[in-house]
Amino acid sequence: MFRIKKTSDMLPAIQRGEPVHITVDGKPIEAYQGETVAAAMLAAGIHTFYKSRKLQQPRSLYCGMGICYECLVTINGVHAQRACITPVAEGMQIETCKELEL
Amino acid sequence: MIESFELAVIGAGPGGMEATISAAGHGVRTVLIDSYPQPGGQYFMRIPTDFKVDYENKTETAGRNLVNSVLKSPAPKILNCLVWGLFQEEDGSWLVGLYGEKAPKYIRAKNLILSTGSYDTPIAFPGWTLPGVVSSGGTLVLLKNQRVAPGKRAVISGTGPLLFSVAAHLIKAGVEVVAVCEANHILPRGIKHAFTMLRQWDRLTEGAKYMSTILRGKAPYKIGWSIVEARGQAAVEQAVIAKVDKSGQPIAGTEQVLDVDLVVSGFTLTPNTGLLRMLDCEMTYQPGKGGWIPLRDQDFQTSIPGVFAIGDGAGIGGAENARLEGKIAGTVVAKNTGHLSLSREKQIRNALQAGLQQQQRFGGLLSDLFSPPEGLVSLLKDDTIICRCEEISLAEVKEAIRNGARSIGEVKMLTRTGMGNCQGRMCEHSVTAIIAHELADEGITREEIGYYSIRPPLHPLPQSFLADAVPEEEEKLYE
Amino acid sequence: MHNHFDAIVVGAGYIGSSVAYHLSRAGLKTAIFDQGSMAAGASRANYGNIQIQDLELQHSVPMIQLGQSRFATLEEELDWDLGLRKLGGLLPIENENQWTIMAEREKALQAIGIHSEIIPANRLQEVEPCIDPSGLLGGLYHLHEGQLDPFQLINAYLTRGRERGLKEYYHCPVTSFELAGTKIQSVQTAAGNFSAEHIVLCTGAYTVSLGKMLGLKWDMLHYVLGQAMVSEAIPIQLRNHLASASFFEMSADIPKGVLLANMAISQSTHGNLLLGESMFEADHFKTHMPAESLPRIARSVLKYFPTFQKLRILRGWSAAIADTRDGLPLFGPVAGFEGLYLATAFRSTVIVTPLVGETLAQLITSGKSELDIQAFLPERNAHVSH
Repeated sequence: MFRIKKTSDMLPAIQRGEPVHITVDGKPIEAYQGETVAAAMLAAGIHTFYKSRKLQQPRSLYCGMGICYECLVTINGVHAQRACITPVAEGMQIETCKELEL
Repeated sequence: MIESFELAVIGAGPGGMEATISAAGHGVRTVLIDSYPQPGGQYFMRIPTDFKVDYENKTETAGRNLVNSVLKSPAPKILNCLVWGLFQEEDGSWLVGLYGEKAPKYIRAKNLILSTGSYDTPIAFPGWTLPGVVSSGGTLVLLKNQRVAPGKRAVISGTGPLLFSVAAHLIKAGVEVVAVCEANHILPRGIKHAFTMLRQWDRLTEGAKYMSTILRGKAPYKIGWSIVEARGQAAVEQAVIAKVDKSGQPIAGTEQVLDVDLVVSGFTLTPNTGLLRMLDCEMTYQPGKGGWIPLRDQDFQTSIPGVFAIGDGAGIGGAENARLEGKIAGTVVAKNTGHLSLSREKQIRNALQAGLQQQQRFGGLLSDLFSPPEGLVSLLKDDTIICRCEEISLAEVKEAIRNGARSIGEVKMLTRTGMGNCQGRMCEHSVTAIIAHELADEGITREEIGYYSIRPPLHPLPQSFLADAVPEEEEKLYE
Repeated sequence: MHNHFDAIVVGAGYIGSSVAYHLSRAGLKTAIFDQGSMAAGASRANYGNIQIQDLELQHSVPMIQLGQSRFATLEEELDWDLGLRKLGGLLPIENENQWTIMAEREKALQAIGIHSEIIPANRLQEVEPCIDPSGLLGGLYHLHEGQLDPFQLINAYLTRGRERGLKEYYHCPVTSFELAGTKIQSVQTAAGNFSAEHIVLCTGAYTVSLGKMLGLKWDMLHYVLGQAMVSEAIPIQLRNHLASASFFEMSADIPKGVLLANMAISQSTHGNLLLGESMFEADHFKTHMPAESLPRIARSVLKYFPTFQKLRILRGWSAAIADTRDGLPLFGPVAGFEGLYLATAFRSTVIVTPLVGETLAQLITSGKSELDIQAFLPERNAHVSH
C-alpha cells in the first residue's frame, strides 16, 4: 500500500494537493488535499477500518465506491463515515474501530 | 420552499450526463444529482480538483469534454448528495429526498431518469472479508483517481475484460501481479464473436495495450482459474487459487498458494437498482445484463410512467451504450414535456439507432463470455461469511433453506442477510446462488428466489437529519 | 379427492402459523396458504413484543392472561430458540388527560392482578435510564412484558407443522370460495382448487377482501397502513417497550389521508432499535413509505430520546394492519357459514399467538374451547351483503 511515484502512460505523474494535517487514532499521517480518507489511510499502511460487531473481525475498503459500507470510520466524532468517498480536510481526526457514542 | 423541475436525473455518469445535456438543451427544466463532488461517474471519474496532471488519454479527454459540457448546461447540478427516497405525490410528480451538506432536503420533479450505474458483482469466497480483498472497481479508483496502490503483490481474480485493465494499471503502478485468473473457459467460446469484436476496434486496441503490459509484466493470465480462498490474520497474507471446471467449480488438487497482500475481485458488474426497487418498478432477471433489471419500453421508460432507467443501472452495457440511452431518454422527456416536436424527436432517435444496436450486440457478446460461472458457489465453506454487514454464514443460510425458505426475502427474515448497512447489495448475488444451488433438484427459478426489496432510506441516515426533513415544513420555508 | 384437507388455514403470519401448527398437531391433515411468503403481511412489520400494555380491559383479560402463560414453556415445546426475553413496558404520559386514562388503567390492571404502576417523571429514569423526562408527567409501567424474534416464532410453528404433515402454499392467493348450501366447501387458488372440512381465515387487513368474496362485511373491521423504521444495532440500551400514552387518546377512526405519528420503540433481540410509528387509513394495500413517515417518526422518537440523534436509520417499512373499532378480535366460527372460522385483528398479536392456535384446534376438533370466545364472535357486527 503506497502512493504511486512511478510515471507511466496509463498512470502519468500527478501533482497532489497541498499537504493537510490529519490524525488516525491520534497519530498524524501523511495526507494531501484531494485524497480520500481511505487512500490516505491505505498509503499509511492502515488496513483495519473497523471491526465487525459479532465476530470482531477486521474490515477494510472493499467496493471502494460507497456501496458496501466496509470502510466505516469515525471522522471528527461522527461515526460510520465512508472513508472511500470522504475527502481529507485540514485538522481531520479519524478514529478506527470505534463504536457509536450516543 | 421545495424547488420543482420537469426532470431530475439521478446519477451523473456517462448516461446521466448525456440525458441532462440533451433534455436541458431542449429547454426541459432539469436537475442533475450525484453523490460525488464532480460529475463523471465511475467510468469518467475526474481526478480530484486539487490534483494536477499534464497528460490524459483518449478516454480521459472524452470524459473531460463530457463533464465540461454538462457543467456548462443550464441544468443545476446538486453534487455530493445522496438520494435517499423517492415519493410519488398525488399529482404524479416525485418528491426526491436528498442528503448532502449543501443540498436542499427535497426537490420535486415530474419525470425521473435513473442512471445509477453498477458495481462489481460481489462474489463471496472464504476470506473475502479480510482487509486486502478489494473489488476491481475500487482498485481502479484508487489507482487512477487517487494514485494509491492498495498492495504490493497482487492476485487478480474474476471474469471479463476489466481484469486486463486492473492488471495493467497495477503493473504500471509498480505492483507485482503474480496471477490474473479468468474463471470462465473463454477461448473456445470466444471465436464465434470475432466479427462483432472487430467492430469495437477502439476497445480492442485498448485491450491490446493492456495485454502487452501484462505480458511484459510477466503476470501469468490463467484461463479457467479462480481465487478459492484468501488467508491471513489481520489482512491478506496468502491467496489460494485453483483450476475450475466449466461450471466454475474448483478442481481438487490444482490449488496453488501465493504470497500476496492484495486480492482483486472482479466478477463483472451488477446494476445498481435500489431506487427502482424502492418504486416497485417491474423487474426482470437477465443474467447477461448483470441480474435483476427493470422492464423498459423502447423509450427506456420503466413500468412506471415518467420514470426512465438508463445505462448500466438498467442492464450492463458499458459507457457508450449508457451515453446513447441517455441521449434518447433525455430527448423523449423533452418530447413528453412539450419541448420537442414528435418529428424532431424521431429524427434524433433515428440518428442514434445504428450506434445503439452495435452497442447492444457488443454487450451481448461480453455477457455471453464473461458472466460469472454459477459453480463458484461451491467455493463457500460453512463458516464463510455471506452477509458482511450482519455476519451471516453459509451454514446459517443453508439452515434457513432447510427450514423452508425458498425466496431471498424469506432467507432475509430467517437469517438477517441483507438487513444491514448495505441493504443487501453485497450478499444478494451469493444468497441467490446458494438458494439456486440448494434447491436445484426442485428446479427453482430466479423469479421464485426474487430479490431484496428496498424501502427508504436507501442509505443509512442519522435520525437527527430525518427529524429535520419534514416535507411540509420545507414547503413552507421562505414563504 | 387429491386436493382435500381436513383444514385449510389462509394467512401465514403469527396467527395462521400457530393455527396450522396446532391443527397439524391435533392430527388434522392441514394446508396453509398465503398470497405472499410466510410472514409477508403485518407480522413482518411487527416488533415481536409480548405486550400487555394495550390490553382491552372489558373482555380480553382472560385471553391475555391465558395467552401469556403459554410462553413459559413455548421454547421447550417447539424446541426452538425464539430469542425470548423479558422486557418491561412503559407508556410515557404527556398531559393531564393521558394521566387520567393511565391512572384508571393502573387501578383496573391492579385489580385483576396484572402488575402496573404509575411512575412520576422524576423517577422515570429509574426504569428507563435513556429517557428524557422533561416534558413528561410520568409513565405507566409494566414489569412483566417480553419479546421474541417474530420470524423465529412463525418459522418454528411452520417447521414443526411441516414435520406433522402440514402442506404450505405460498405466493398463492385465494381467489374465491365455494359453498354447498351453508357449508364451506373449498377455496380456489392460484395453485388450483382445494377442498376442506374447515377453513380458517387468519388474514389480517386482507380479511376485508376475502369477506367480499363471501359476500360478508364485518363493520367492526378496518385497517390502517402503519410505518416504522429500524436503526443500526447498538448495545442494549432500552429496558422496556415504550409506547406513547397518546395511543389511548386516539379514536378508532383516523380521518382518511391524515398521517398520525406516535412514539413506539423497542430494541430488538439483535440490538437494532425498532422505531415507530406512523399510520394512515387507506383504501389500498400499497406498502410504499409516505414521504412524511420517516421524518415524523424520527421526530416523535427524539422528543423522548434525544440521545438517539446520531443513531443511523437503516430501513423503513409499511404494512397493512387490521384493527377493529371495539378493540376486540374477530375470533370464532362465522355464523351462517358452516366450517368457516375467523382468527384475526388481535390487538396484541404475539401474546395470544400460541393460545389462539390452541383454541382453534379445540374448537375444530371438539366444538368447544377452554377460552370463552363469546365476545369475539365475528357475527357481533357482520352482515351478509348479497
